[in-house]
Amino acid sequence: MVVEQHLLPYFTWLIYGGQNDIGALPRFLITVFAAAVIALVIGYLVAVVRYGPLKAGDLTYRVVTGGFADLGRLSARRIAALARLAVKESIRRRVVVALVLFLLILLFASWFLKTDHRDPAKLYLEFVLTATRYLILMVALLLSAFSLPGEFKSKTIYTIVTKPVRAGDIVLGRIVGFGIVGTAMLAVMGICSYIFVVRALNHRHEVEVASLENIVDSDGVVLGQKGRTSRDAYHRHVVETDKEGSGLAISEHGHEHFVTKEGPDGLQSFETSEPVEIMKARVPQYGTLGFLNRQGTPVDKGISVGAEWTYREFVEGGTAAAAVWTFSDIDESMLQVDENGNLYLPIEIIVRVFRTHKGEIERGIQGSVVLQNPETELKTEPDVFTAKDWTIDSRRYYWKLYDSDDNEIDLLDDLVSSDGNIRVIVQCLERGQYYGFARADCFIRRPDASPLINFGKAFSSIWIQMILVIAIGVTCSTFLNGPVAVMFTLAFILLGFFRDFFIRVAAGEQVGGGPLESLVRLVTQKNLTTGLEENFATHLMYAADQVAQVFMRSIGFLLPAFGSLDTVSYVSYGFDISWNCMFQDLTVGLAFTVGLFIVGYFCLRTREVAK
Amino acid sequence: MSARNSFYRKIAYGVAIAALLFPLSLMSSPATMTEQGLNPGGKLAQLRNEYRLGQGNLGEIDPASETMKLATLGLRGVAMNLLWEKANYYKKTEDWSNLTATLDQLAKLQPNFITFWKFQSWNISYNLSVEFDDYRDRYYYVRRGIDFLKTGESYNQDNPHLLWDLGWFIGQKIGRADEHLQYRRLFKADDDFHPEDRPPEKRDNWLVGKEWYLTAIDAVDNKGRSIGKKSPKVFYSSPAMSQINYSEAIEKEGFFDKARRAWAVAADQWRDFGDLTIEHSTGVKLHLNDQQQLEAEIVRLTAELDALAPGIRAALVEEKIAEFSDEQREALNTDAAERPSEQMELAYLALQEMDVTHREVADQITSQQPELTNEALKLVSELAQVERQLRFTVNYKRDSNFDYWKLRCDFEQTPEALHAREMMYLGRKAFEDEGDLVAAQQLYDEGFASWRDVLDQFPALLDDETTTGDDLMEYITQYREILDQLDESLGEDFQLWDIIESFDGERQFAEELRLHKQQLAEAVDQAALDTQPEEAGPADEAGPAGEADPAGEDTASGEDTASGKDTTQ
Repeated sequence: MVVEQHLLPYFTWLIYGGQNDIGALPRFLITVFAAAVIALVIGYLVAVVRYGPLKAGDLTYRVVTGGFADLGRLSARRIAALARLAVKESIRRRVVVALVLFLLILLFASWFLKTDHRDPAKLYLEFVLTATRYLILMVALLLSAFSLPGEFKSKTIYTIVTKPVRAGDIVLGRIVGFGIVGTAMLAVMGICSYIFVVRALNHRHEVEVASLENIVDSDGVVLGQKGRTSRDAYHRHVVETDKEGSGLAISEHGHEHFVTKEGPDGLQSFETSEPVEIMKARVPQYGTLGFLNRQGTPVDKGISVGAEWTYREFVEGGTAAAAVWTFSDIDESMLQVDENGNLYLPIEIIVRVFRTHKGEIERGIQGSVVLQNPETELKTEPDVFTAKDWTIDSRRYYWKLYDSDDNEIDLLDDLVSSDGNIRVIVQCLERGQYYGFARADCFIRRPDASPLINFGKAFSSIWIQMILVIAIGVTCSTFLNGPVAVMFTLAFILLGFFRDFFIRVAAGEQVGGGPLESLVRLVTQKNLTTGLEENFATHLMYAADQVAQVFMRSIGFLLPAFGSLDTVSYVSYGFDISWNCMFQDLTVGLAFTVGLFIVGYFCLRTREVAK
Repeated sequence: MSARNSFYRKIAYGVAIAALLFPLSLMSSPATMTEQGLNPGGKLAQLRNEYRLGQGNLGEIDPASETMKLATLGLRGVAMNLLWEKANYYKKTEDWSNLTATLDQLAKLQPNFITFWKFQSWNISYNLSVEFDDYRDRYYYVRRGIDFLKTGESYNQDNPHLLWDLGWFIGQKIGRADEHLQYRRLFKADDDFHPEDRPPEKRDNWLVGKEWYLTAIDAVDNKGRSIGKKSPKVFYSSPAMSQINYSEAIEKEGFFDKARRAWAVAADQWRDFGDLTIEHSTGVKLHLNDQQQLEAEIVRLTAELDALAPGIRAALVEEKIAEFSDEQREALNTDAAERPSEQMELAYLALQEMDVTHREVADQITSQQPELTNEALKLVSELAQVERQLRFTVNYKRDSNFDYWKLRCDFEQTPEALHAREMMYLGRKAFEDEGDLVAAQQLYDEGFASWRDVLDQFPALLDDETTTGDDLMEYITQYREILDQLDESLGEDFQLWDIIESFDGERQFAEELRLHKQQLAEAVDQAALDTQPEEAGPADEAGPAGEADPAGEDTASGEDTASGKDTTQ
């Protein structure tokens, strides 16, 4: 799985932040404070214009103190009642149509989706999760943005505000109500999606008896049989069985099948199981990555082989160059038990091979893995392997190993440092060839999580995004009319999806310049890198862009990063969504919801509705 | 307006609508298949069929594709742009499953855009496949690109570009890649690719490619499709070239019996290609096999022209020579081999000026015998046409290497050539697989002897425009590897020194060649000495003896060389 941004531990993320960033909580507080100050100043200035400075000051004070006092008097009973109202309104507005639409999409998905890809599970999971995400966000947008404006227009809002409800109850009641509707729909979509994926990927094969050949040892003793399966779901497997007829249909298209013999002895008839491990939830423990150059000196970066995508860096083969991962918190709990009851450390490696010459075409490029104690620098003897390009290579390191002098050493006692660290050093052994690695390409595999729960976690991420959209929509609808609230919310969502790009444009780091320069380039059909004529107009354009970029940077802080809330790739690649990730997403969702609720409350409160 | 008028008006409208329905249904009823056969339908359906405007005329109708196009609600272009961007992004980030899925979606949105199929199938087979290290994975994506192109062909039936590309991918990508040995093996064993009725011996990639080329030609010749800007000589020569490549490939794999038959088929198909009518870019129709015929025709017409007024051509030449400067005349009179560089250019230009055109002859005839004007001009016109046709024919033949491949097909099926290739193959096997150096050397020696026979039979192979010399150099280089291990070198009895002299572009055999030439020179001198008359006196004897002395020393070492044992090495 491609992991461009590794997650920090929760409290580090919350309080301290990463290398170039402050903690989430300080950032939230600063943003809230800045927004509050700006709102106060703007509010005061507007009041000054209307009422004069003294009265404006008094009014501002009263709004602030009264508002916060009011917020403290929210009633769960009233919120529940209003939430019930929001649910009824949603049902009346036929929100169930979205479910029907979703079912239609699933029904006809087989027209557009095939299992003839090498990793069909990935495609199907991405499809259902992405379709669910877009559909539910659209439903949330339409429900939330039209609700209050519709009531203002039809004047039914008066039937509410004339009752002893506060603005906070109205806003929160709506958020909760639409949230309940969305959650119910998401639950139905989730169940249908899971059934759809499992059914679509489910298949069996027949073993082609005519293809079976005996596997014999050097003495001619039959050890088993090898053959192939029938072609089903656009693929077939190589089959290997033992003498008794039990075996495996070797992994192909991301899964394998168990093979058992059926029928009486003497009759060659086999049965394959349903796909095994077609959906997975690997739990990786990542380390930090460093490199050694060809002289064996530690360096920051590996070699570039000229690829446009610089996710991976390369080490040169046949030299002292290596990729070095350091893993922390290594103890007995990291070890797993094999089928014979032996403990081992499971390390998985993804190697990207780059050949500068063909060499032996039918043989892979050889490399080696060495475990090392970072303190004592004691190393194991090299574990030589042949790289499986693009595939996760699972390696087991048992409790008892051997060092380079062939002395027996203990995995935990000798190779793990006193602070619980261990190094994994991977090298390419062949001159002129290269191995490429990113940080996420080597990890210690913890016991797998449940794919079903993982699937649920992905839906939880979608739920958080949905709640965000509802909060934005309800907030916008407190001071805008329906269509404008929809456009505003849609803009918020789109900018959230493209937040990284937006911030890069705001910071002037995006090729093609700021917004005005991009527009000029579009209209004049100049490409991104062509220089513009130096004249008064272009200087004016650059100046305007700089002003715009200041606003964009401010807005960028307020935008929710929908991209980072997206956990589809975890599920599609077969990796577990960690609870750390879930908690961080929940915290972000909660922070935005609370902030938007307060903004919505004040907007509704200051709006003159039956006062 | 009374209610009655309104009622009458409604009746009139109803009648008019009913009346219009008749011609409407006649015009727009669809084509259907009935028990009696195909019902061509209304006029619009017939026109649609005639001009191949209907979706069904283009190829397969895919409801998924139509649905997707409708679902974009007019924003198909925007959707396609976004998907292309996504495809490029997935390619950059090496997300192959998403890339192929995106291409499948794009295919639904633009199934009739030919360039899309050509571009992306090439992308998969050529660019994507090489990203993998395992050759089996690479083959999988080469095959996937071919399947993608086949899907495109089903949406765009009888499109000669897609059909030709299928032939190219299956032939060239599988047969010419660095991994061609592995790919060919996998292709033959690929049960999922080949139809059930294709026998195992036909599962060769070159033969399968040839079938697609023939289908492409059929689409052009019999179904009225156009090859557009594609070169007709490349297009029409492809099946024969595929057969040639097949013959080469099975020879390399050691199937010499099959190779003989294959070369015979290749020769027939190459001849058929030469007999095909190919349209030149100027619209002139050519047959590549007609060169000799055209040359003969020119000779005949020239003779006919000259016969109208004998001697005129020679007189014109004389006139032109009379106008030459002294330097030019001197240059012409100097033997070509002895001309200094400044004279060479003068001579070249003079020869050009000396050339008397048919038009000049005709003009001269016209001025001297006006009654022969019409006839002379007619002959000149005919000559111009035939010469132009000859020129185009020669150019096209050169572009397609026509003579070389004709020669190749002819000589490769001879028993001597097959024997030579077989010996090379067995010799290589003995060397690499069995490590039997002595056997390998003997096989190569036998093979080179057969090659000598081939070269004597087909001296045109020594032309440096052919590649047979380069092939032979490879064999000679392999032979030398064997000799090196036996501590031997190329002997004087080696039969292909002329090949080394002409084709050793990298001068790997420079030293051996130098020694060989020295040996030859000495042998020639010795032979000359041996044929000297007997009355030569002591002084004369001393002379040759004196000359022979250095040669004698060299002969001693040369004798060592001739025996194949170069002790200096």
